[in-house]
Amino acid sequence: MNVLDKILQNVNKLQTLPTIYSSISEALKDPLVTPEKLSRIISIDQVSSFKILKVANSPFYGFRGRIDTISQAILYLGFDEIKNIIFALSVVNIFAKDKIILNFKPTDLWAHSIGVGISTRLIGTAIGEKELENYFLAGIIHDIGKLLFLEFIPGDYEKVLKLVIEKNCSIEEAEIEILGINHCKAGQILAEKWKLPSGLQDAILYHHAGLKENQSSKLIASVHIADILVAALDLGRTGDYLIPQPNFKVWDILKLPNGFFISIKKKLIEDFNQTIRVMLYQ
Amino acid sequence: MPKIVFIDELKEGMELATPVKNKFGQVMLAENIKLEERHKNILMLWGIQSVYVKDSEEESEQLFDEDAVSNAKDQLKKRLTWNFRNFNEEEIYNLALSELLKKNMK
Repeated sequence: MNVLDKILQNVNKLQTLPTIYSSISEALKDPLVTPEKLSRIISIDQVSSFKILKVANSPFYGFRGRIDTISQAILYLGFDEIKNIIFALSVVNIFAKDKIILNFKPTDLWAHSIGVGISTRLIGTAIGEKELENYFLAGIIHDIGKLLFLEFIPGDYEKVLKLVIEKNCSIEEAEIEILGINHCKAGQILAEKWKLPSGLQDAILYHHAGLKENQSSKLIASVHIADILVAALDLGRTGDYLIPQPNFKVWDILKLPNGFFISIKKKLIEDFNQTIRVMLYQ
Repeated sequence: MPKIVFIDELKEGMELATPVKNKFGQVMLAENIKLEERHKNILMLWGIQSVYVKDSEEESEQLFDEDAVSNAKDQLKKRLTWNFRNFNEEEIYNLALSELLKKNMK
């Protein structure tokens, strides 16, 4: 059985998303749903409610410590952003955190992904993107294909990680050589199974390329740059040793001003330290 | 050089480097306005999460000796093998170098 078949088979066995996420998704299908109704659904799960409030109060949302209730969180951040926070918190718990291969730990990969989520949102905010609700989540799940590999084909993935060191090549190149499929495609397969919006599926599939077949997408471009920035700042681990060069065309899509990265660095690192505590260790 | 500041970091007296516009492109606050505490709540109500302000205070960066910088550059060259082509890429390179220098100091 080839790797793609193994992944497809195992994706179906993967633990489903928690009830709270499906209940919220179901409730949101009703165009007349009220914040009170959603708030009641979320509040049934007290542990999730506590974490949602912690994330909603993260500095990168700009409401540091001002959101006290789930109703307020819905009011300030909107239905979709809250749904995405629930998704992000759920997905972190679906994959095992103890599958360590050659010192590469899932929690280190999650730390990198959280850094990319925060940076992607900071970039989205800076470029004046008005529909920001997918920016944090896109960063959180961009490397989810690597978690599938760690979970379901640990032996083969160990060979990939060894090849990265031996050849000093990118992880994507090593994945193609050993597995015949890269983590971008594997992640997109999972995102499709979870029926995530096409914008998020594209962000997973094209985050290394930076572009989708020469079409410009601000979301893909933001994840692409955030991924490189977080690797350069050495926040978390990706399994890669090399820091890739950005796709030059992406700069024309984002048009980030001179001094942008320097001005967000301090905030990024502070938000990163706070958010990994909430999402990974509380 | 204009600097991006997120709403929770706004301080009284910061001066807008570019106008604040709403999603329809209408100017809500003009360039050169000195921000006051009340502007923070107004911006939040408008759903604006960041603004560009004039950079009056340069962040003081830690100074490192030449050997430390040269060693860090050699180390970084093994992970970051490309040459920067614009100011954005130069900034990413410099941030990577400064974080590496700080790590080496520990």
